[in-house]
Amino acid sequence: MNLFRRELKTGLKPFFFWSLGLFALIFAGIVKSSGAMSNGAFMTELIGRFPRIVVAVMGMANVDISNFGGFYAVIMQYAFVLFAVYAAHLGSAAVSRESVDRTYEFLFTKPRSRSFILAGKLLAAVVFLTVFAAFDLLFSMLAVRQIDVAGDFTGLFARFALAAWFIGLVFFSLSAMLAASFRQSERGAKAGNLAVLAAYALAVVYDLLEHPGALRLLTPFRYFLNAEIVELTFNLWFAWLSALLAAAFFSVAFFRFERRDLGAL
Amino acid sequence: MGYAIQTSKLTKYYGKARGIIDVDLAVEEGELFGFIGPNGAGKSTTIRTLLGLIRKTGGEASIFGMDCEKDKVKILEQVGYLPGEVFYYDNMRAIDLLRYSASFYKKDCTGRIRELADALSLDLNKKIEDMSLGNKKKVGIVQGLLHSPRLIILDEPTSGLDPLMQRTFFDLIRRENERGATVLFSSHILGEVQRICDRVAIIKEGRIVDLKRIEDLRKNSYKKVSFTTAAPVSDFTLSGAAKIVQDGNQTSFLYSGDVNALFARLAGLQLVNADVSEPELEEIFLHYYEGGEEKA
Amino acid sequence: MNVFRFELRRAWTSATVWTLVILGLMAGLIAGALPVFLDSRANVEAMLSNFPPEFAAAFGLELDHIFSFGGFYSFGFLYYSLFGAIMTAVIGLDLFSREKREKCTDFLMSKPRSRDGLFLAKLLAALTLILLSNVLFIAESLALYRAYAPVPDAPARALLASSALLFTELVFLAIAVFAAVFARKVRSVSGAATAIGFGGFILSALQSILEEEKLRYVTPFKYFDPSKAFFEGSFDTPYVITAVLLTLGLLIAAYIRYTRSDVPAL
Repeated sequence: MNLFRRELKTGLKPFFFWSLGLFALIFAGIVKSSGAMSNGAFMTELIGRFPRIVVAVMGMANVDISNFGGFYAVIMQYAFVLFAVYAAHLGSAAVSRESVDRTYEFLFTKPRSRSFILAGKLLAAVVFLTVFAAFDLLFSMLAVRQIDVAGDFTGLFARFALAAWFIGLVFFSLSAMLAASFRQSERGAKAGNLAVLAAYALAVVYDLLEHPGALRLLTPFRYFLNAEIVELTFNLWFAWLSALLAAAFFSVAFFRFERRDLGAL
Repeated sequence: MGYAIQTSKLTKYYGKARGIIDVDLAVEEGELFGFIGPNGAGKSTTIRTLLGLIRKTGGEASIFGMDCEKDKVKILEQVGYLPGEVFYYDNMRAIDLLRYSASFYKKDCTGRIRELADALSLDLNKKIEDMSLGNKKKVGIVQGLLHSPRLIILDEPTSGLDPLMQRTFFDLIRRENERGATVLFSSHILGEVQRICDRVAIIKEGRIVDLKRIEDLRKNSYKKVSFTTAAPVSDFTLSGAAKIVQDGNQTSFLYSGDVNALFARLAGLQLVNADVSEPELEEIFLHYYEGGEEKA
Repeated sequence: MNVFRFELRRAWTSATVWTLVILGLMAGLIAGALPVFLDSRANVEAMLSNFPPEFAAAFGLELDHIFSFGGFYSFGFLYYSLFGAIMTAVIGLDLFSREKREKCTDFLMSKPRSRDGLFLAKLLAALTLILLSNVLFIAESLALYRAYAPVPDAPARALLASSALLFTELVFLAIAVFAAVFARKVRSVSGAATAIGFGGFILSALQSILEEEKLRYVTPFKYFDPSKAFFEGSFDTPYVITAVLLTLGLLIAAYIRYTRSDVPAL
């Protein structure tokens, strides 16, 4: 399908740059981790003594950095943010590209329903998101070979990559929905980014509270907790929630997109 | 009166691709000067170089005696530019944009804005992005004229305007010209050029191929004649007639010569209908567009 | 000048919102958490007494530094500068790619104003907004210092430290202006600004985790370290120089490009 292929081509350049960022983050983080880990027990104890707020804001809450797994979890916190921002970009770009480029008159007078067109674009974006998660796994595996650490972490990497994919999916669908709901595409993009920011803030708050409870539902960054991932469980419940949320957001996106007036920006 | 626009061997290359080559123009002050040519011929390139939007590769260009590159700012105070495609800032009403535009010139243009908007029936309080193409064009026209410029450069100005508005627009331009403004008018629509210009330059593949007075064009050209008779005319001949085509009761040809002789010949026939017309500038110029070099 | 006022009017709302976010965050963090943080010192000291003193030294844990207003302030600073960077990038991108995005470059450039003048007007508008935002930030920093620092005896240092935000933002402004002028197309200002801001943020976080000094040359967030200002009364000269060179270099390149490039027909 030519639309799908076109979307893939157009998205290639941003994908390349974002992958570069991911690469830098993972490689630098892992390769240098050996130095930082050598006094892990000390660090962990120390962090434990600081007030929660400090630890939470640094993204180191609920993590044991005396071992590689814990350290990797901290790096993944930042990777999750990267995923979220890229996913938000994918979502709003897919929906608003023609409006921004003012080429909507070309595309939307072709004999294809709007939903068909949107589906093609979203599919291409999901491909990018999936490959991005695969790169996350790949880069991690490559990087860990460069340092001297015992154990096979492939499973851990895979679980984190999967978690990142789900988080990305939620923000992707949310951003697509927002972009389709605003008349001015720039407002939609801003809303998507704001959502990422708000979710991060909520994640920090979550880490601060002793009994955060239902707050977890509001921030995709805490759908998959470090503890759960490191200790080999993967929270299926939240995976389903992510999928459900994504489905809901997509539905609204399709609905709004079908009805939208395509005129001035 | 001096020259409003003067260029000498003006050349612009986009990397290796040619824009314009050795363009020589001399537009006198107070003239209505037409500028025509096929797509990609270099009309926009010439205009954009004059306005300082792009940098020339070679040659000289001056407006009102001032060099286009060195004195750009001073020149622009007296130039009004109406571009072909009209886009403006988002979220602005027409009056906001026009006021902003006026704030660049050292005179008070509020009166002129009202005047022009009324003449064009433009609702100033509407947001530009909500306007139809024609209305956006009107904003562009007001924007280009509100400071009563000495030189008006028009680039495909009437595309998007309905015939009534086109006429209003040309009246506006003519009035500006009567006031003393020089007009450089670049267009595809030869009918317009024919209607208001004194002289016209033809540009093709980056070079000026011809420069003529409109009347001279007409003088040396032919008339189109076609008539219908009750019964087919056999072997119609007339000295001065060329390309005679006969189709049943209809005969048509091109005629250059004494008009009296033409009518005398026609009077001798049993006519049902007859049509004698000036050729459109289009027909005269079409061969420039087509690539031929012979004159009409 | 009319262009200056025009750009100011178009960009001030988003600048205001971001400024309020930064001010609110800082107030919340310092007023809300500083006292608790300072109290936890005893806890940490107790723990450290169980370890040989070499450990503390190895980590450069100067308790006096960490458990002070300056230490806590610097800790929160990464987040203020993230938002500040995004705010500034939005301003820079918005102002300098406006005509490119809304396709009205012809309109502005055929007005009797030199391109130098236009560039300057936009730059001035951006600087004005950034300056105003930082005046508020510095004022609030000083106020919080007076109210919450255990021993507020060096307001001059607090002043210097809080000005780190201003200088960092100037670097990001240069980056954003450069990007806006050189990019062929700017589709989404907020998207690009977020990417710039987050890019810098991740670089900084990395630099913190890895503690690799050389990386500091490429992390704009660390050119002006507020903790250094608090404890040593100045910023690190090599990084200041880097920042100045980078900022000037990018702005000059953008200026040259803006004033000399051809404006193609639509």
